[in-house]
Amino acid sequence: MLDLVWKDIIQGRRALAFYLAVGAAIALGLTFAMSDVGAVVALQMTLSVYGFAVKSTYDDDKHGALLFLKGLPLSDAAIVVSKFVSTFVVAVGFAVFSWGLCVVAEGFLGPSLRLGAAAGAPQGLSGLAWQILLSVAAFFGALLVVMAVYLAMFFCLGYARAAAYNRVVMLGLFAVIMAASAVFQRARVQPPEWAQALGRSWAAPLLAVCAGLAVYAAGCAASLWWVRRRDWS
Amino acid sequence: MAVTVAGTAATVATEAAAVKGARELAEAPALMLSAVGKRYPKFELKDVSFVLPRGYIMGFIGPNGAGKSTTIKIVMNMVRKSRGTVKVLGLDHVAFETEVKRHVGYLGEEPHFYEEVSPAWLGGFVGKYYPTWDAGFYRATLRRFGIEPSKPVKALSKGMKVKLGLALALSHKPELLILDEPTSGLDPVVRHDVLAELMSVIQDEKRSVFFSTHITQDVEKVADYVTFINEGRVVISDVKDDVLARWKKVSFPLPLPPYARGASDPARIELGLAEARERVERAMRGALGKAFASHKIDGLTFTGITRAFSGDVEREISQLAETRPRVIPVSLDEILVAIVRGSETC
Repeated sequence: MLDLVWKDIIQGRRALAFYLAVGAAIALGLTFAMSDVGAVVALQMTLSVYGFAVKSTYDDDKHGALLFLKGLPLSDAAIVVSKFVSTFVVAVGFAVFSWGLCVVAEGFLGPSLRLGAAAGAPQGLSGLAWQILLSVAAFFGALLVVMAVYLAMFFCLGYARAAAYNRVVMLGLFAVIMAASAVFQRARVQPPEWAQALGRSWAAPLLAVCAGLAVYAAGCAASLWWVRRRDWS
Repeated sequence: MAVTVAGTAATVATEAAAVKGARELAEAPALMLSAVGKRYPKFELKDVSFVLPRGYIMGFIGPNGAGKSTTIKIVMNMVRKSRGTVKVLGLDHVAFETEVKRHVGYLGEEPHFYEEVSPAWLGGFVGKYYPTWDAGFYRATLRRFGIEPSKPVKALSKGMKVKLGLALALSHKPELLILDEPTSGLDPVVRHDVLAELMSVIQDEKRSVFFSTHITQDVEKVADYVTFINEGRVVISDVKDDVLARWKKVSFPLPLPPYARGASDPARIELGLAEARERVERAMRGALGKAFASHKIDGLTFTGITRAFSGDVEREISQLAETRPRVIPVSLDEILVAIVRGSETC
């Protein structure tokens, strides 16, 4: 199965390199523009992993790769799980990269060049690194949910419908988040104390990652269940 | 002591059972389908049954949409069967899927590969899944087929991709080779190469080939067994030479009644002809008709293709025709047409 994971990553190496370069450019650009790096880089991480998954499934669909693999002595589980594992590996890689990028941009470049929001941050480097880790972890949990939904749809409905439906899901999520933030800003509502405390602690990101992992595992199991019942042609 | 003896006896019995099981597997047919069915909204595969013994080539013939690819995909567990049993090399094709596929070489109707990679990379990737993979044989086969190992797969022509698929399917020395329309859409030279490769595969008597096609000439050239499928149903499955011995084209002039023979009156001739035609048609609706897959009466001549030619059938036809009929061999192509036309008539 590791061969399949490696094959997926090798196959998407050009796209991965492109997304990493874009992430680095965004982080540097925002630092020099004296803006917050974290949220945008985390968003870029989400889109990059989504882009990788879409490219990988598009290639599989275009070349009939799943049928090719089905002709080999491979179990259905190996074919399905390998796709989930390769996307997970890429997601973890991007999360680590995004975290490192934000720490470098906000912890070193910002203060040394006296740029960005972190230039005069009272917290030390370790505090900043911890704070960024919590943000990245929260985004990572959400990313796993999006990827689980997309990959499950890919195995159940095929590439074309999965890509179309997932675009709708992502746009819907974006619209809901934007609308909620607009409503809160307009109403000048302060979140309750417990919510603010939760936001500062490690519990919320940990909860997000755990929930993401649970949904990811459920998506994988659902895909396998479906694949074992459907025809591959 | 008694326990040790009992334990030894049990071990010996287990080993004997294992040896017996292994021998049975080794002697089991290469491929056996029994009452296999699959239901789609607009098509149904109905009770497909046939057996391919080890060491032989079977051609699976049928028109487009007859169910050839569906049957092959069922064998490869790409399509889930609705009912029936499939045994590949003596093993259930679903319960022992990966084990079965280690001993099977498969090439689909449309060869699917990763297009961005090279044949050399593909060989390395595929080889990891087969304990019996022979990298030297794979390289030699690519060379023999004229395939550049470092060129991306997407740069290969359709014929070259089929050859690449064949090289991949052969390089782990499969006991059974399953090919879905391998020669379809290929030029005559590549077709010849592919068929020659199939012939060389069965030089090893333990290896078998099952391939589907609608090009009956390919089957005539290389197959030992032939299975015809039409509208989801197996019509014939037998040794090719036996099929060709049973299926014959029979023709005879219509036996005019005495009053019409040598008559010059057109009305009388017409009446005699109608009577002769009616007589032959009546015979065709009876027991004799069951021996024919298709027939037609064109002017003064009856022509039919019989599926069960024998001395008795020839005698019956001679009695009907009042003369010895003309019997000529038929090709698999004509048999296929007779089967399809026959079912259309029905």
